[in-house]
Amino acid sequence: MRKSKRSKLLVAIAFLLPNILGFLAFTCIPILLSFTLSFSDWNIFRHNIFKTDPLNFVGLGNFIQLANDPDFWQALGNTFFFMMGLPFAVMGSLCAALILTRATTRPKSNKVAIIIASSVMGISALVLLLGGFDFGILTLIFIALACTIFMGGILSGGIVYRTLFYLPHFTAGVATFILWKKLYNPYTGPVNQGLANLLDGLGQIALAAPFLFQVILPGIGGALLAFLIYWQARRLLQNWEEANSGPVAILAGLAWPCFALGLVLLWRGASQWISYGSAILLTLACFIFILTRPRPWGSTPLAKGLGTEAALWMVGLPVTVLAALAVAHGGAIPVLAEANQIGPPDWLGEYEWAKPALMIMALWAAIGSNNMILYLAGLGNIPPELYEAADIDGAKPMQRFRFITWPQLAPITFFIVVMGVISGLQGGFEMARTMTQGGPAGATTTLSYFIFIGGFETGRLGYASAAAWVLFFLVFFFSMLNFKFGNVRDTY
Amino acid sequence: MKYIFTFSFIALALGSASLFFTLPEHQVGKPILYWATHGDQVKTATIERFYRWREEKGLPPVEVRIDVANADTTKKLIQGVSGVAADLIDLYDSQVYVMRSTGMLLDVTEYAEEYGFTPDKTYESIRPFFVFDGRQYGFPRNLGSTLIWFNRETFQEHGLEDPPETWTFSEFEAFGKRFVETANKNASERDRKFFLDRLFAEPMRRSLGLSNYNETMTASTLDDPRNVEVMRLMQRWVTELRLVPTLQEEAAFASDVSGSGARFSFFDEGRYAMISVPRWALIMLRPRIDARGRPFDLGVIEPPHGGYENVQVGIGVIGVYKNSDHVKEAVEFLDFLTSESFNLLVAESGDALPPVPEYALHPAFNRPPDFPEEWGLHEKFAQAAREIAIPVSISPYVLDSTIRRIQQNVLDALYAKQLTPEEAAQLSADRINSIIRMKVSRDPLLAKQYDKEIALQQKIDAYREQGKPVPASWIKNPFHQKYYRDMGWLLEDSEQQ
Repeated sequence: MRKSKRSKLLVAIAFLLPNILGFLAFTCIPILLSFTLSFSDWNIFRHNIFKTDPLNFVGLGNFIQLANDPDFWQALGNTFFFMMGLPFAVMGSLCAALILTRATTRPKSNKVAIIIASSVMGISALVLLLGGFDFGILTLIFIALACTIFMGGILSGGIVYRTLFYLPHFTAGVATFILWKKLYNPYTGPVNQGLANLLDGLGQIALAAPFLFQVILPGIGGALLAFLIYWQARRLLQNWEEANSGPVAILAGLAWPCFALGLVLLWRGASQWISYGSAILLTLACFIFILTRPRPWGSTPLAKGLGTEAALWMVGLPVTVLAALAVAHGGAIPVLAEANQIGPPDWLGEYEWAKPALMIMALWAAIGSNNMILYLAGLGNIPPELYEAADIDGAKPMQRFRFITWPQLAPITFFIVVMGVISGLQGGFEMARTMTQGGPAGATTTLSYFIFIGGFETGRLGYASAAAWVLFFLVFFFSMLNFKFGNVRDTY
Repeated sequence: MKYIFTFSFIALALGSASLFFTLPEHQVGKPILYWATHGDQVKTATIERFYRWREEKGLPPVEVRIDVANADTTKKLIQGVSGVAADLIDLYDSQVYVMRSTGMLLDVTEYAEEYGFTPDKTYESIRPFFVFDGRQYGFPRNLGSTLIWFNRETFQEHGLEDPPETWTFSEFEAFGKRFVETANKNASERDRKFFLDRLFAEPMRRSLGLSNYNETMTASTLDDPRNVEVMRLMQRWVTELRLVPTLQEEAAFASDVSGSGARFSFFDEGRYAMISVPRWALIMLRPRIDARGRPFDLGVIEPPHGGYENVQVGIGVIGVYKNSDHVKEAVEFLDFLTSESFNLLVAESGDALPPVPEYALHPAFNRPPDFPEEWGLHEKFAQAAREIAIPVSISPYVLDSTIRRIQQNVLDALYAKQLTPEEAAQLSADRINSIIRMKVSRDPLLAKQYDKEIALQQKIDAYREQGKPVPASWIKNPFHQKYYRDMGWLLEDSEQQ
C-alpha cells in the first residue's frame, strides 16, 4: 500500500516535473537572478559567453543612479500620466456594461431608444453639414456603420453591441497599434480628416461672429467654473456636517475645481508659482472653512467618502479642463482663424499631443475589455429584488444606480482598479515600441520601455534590473494602498 | 498511471529525435550558412552569384539562407551574446563596433590576409567602421556617401533654376525660402511641399569644424557655440521656414506606404524637391520610370555646408559570428565580396557603391546602358566617398545608439520649442558626458584607457594653443584626423620618424 502511494507520488511528480522545471527555469530563477543583478554592474558588453570580465557588486549604486537619471523620472512621470486614464477606463467599461444590460432602463424603452438614436443621427448629420463636412464616401460609411450599430443593437436586444464592444479585446495588440497609427496620421488619417473639416467650419464661424468666442464662450466657461467650485464646496460642507465625508475626501473633492483656476492662470501666461499657488490657496481656504464648521453628527474616518470623490474626479476634471480652456483660450480662436492656423494636431508627432493620443487609444481598448465582461457578470448577479424594492420606494434611475448598482459592484470595481493599476504600471511597452519609439522627446517612454532600452539597447542589464525592481515595489506599494483605502471592506 | 507516463515520455523522446534528424542541416547534406539580413532582390542575386563563384573556384557547394526574422539589431545583439546568432551578420555603421565590443564577431584579420580581403581593398574613409586597433571584423558589402538628389522637373515647374553643386548654409536657406514660398502659394498645409526631406546634424557640425566628440573621444563637444548655431539653423529650417519636415512628419508620411517608399513617392510627386539619400536611391527610383512614362531628370549636389565640405558615409558590413559552425565557408563569403561578380552586381543594381573602388570606374557603374539619363551622376558618389566622406565618430566610452537616442530627444524638444538652441546644445553635451563618466567609473580597463587619452587630449590642446601640428597617432576621432590633415594641422606618422 505504502509502496503504491510512493509510486503514485513519483508518477505525479514526473508529470508535474516539466511544468516545475519550466517555472524554475523561466520564472523563479530569473526573478532571483534579476534581484541579484540589480546590485551588480552586469553589462552585456562585458559579461557574456565571449567576455567574462569580473562582475562587480555595486550595492545600491544602480538605484542611486536611477534616482539621478532624468530619463527614469520622465518615464515614471509618463507612466503615471498614462495611469490617469484608468478611472476613465473603469467608468467607460461600467457604462458599456450598463448599456449592454440596460440595468437602469425600464421596459418599453425601445421606442424611446429608437427615437433618441434617430434624433442623434439626424442632429449629427446636420451639425456635420453645417460645419462644412462634405459627404464623401468615408463619411457615408461612418454614418451607415453607426446607424447599423444603433439599429442592430436596438433590434437584437444587445447581442450585436456585446460582440462589437468586446471586439478590441480580440484584436492583437500590435495590429491595433498599427491601425491607430494610421488613424492618427496627420495627413491621411481619418481622425484628422474629420477634424479638419469640423475645425474649418469652426474657423468660419469664428471669423463670422468673433464675439461668440471672445465674450460668450469665456463667459460660459467662467460661469461654469464658478458654479462648480461653489457647488462642490457646498456639497462637501453638507457632507462634513452630516459626517458623510472625512478630511481627506474633502481635500480631494476641493482639489479638482480649484485646480481649474490654476490652469486658467497658467494658460493666461501667469507663472507656475502664481498659478498653482493660487489653486492651492483657494483649495486650502475652502478646506479650512469647511473643517472649522461644527459637526453635529460627530467625527468621521479620515478617508470616508473618498470613493465618491474619486468618481467625481473622473467626471469633473475633464469638464473643468474644458471650461478652463474656454476661459483662457476662447478669445484666441478668431485670431487663429484669421491667421488660418486652426487645424488638427499631429497626434503622435507633437510633444503635447502624443500622450493624450495614446491615452485615447488605451481608453478605447479598455472599454471593451475583460473589465466590461466582469461588470456584465457583476450586473447579472445583483439580486433583482433589490431593484424591485427600489421601484416600490419610487427610486429614480440615478438613485437605483447610486444605492444599489454601484455598491453591489464595489468588489468588482476594486478588483478592476487593482489589476488596472498593476497593468498600468507595467504597460505601455508595445504601444511605445510600435507607435512612437518612446518619442517625441521621450514623451511616451514608459517605465517598461525604459527598462527595455536600459537592458537591450544599452546593454546595462544590472541597471535595467534595478529599474524593474523599482517598478515591482511601485506595483506592490499601490496594490497595498488600494487594499488599505479601497472601499471594498465597507461594502461587504 | 505509470504506463501513461512511460508512453508519453517515449512518444516525446521519439518526437524530439525525429525533429532533430529532420533539421535542415541533416536534410540538405551540405553546410548551411544563415545570413541575418533584410531580404530583397539584391540579396537573392548575391546568393546566386556566390554559388556560381564557388563553382568557378571549385569550392564545395553550400547553401545560404537569409534569416529575415532576426535581422533586427536588438535580436542580433541578444542572440549573439547568447550563443545562437546567424553565421553571417549584416551590420550597419556603428553596429560593427557594438557587436565587436561584445566579443561575438570573429576577428578575421588572418583570414583576410590569407584570402585577400584586407582593408586596403576598399575605401580608406570607411576603414574605421570595421577595423579596430589594427584588427579586422568583417568586410563591407557596400558603402553609401549621402548626397542630395534633385528632380529638375520640380524646380522647372515652379520657375526656379537648378540648385548649385555646392552651397553654404545661407545660400541653402535663401534658395529653400524661394522654393517653399513659390511651391506652396495656394497649397493647404496638408499638401505642403518641402525643399528637402531631412537634415543631418553631424555633417552640418563638421562643416563648421566641430565633431560630436573631442580629438580623443573622451568628451562631448556639443556645447560648443558652433553646435548652438547648427541647432538654431535646424530649428529655423524645420519649424519656422518649414523647408524640411519634422522627424515625426517624415515618419507619418512613411506610415502610409511600406518602408522608405514615402520619400521616393513624394520626390516623384514633387512634394519633396530634394532627398538626401546615397546612390541606392536608384533602386527605388528606377522602378517608377514605367509608371510615370518618362525617366527622371535627376541631378546630384552636395549638402549645404558652413565652410568645410564633407558628407556622411554609411556602410553595410558582413561580419562572421564567432560561434559559427561554418567559419571557413563564412570567410569565403567575405572573400566573395571582393570579387568582380559581386561588385558588378552592386554597380548594376543601382545600390550604393561597390566595396572595391576600382569597380566604381567600370562602365557598368558609370554608364549603365539602360539608363543613359543617369550618366554623370554615379561618379559623384564615388568621388565624394574618396574625397569628402568621413565616417561617424564612435567613442569607446558611450554607445552610438545612446547618442542617437539623446540627439533624437533633443531635436524633438528643440522642434517643439521646449528647448532653446543653447539649452539643446548644453543638454546634449551634459547627458553624453555624464554617461561617459559613469561608464568609465564602472570599468577599470576602460578607466585606464580613458586616463591615458585624457593626458593625450591635454597635450593636443596645448599643441593647438601653441599652433604646433599634432601627431596623427594622438587623434582617435576620424573627423579630426581628416580635418586636421586638410587644415595642415597634422603631423603625419611618417614625418614624426
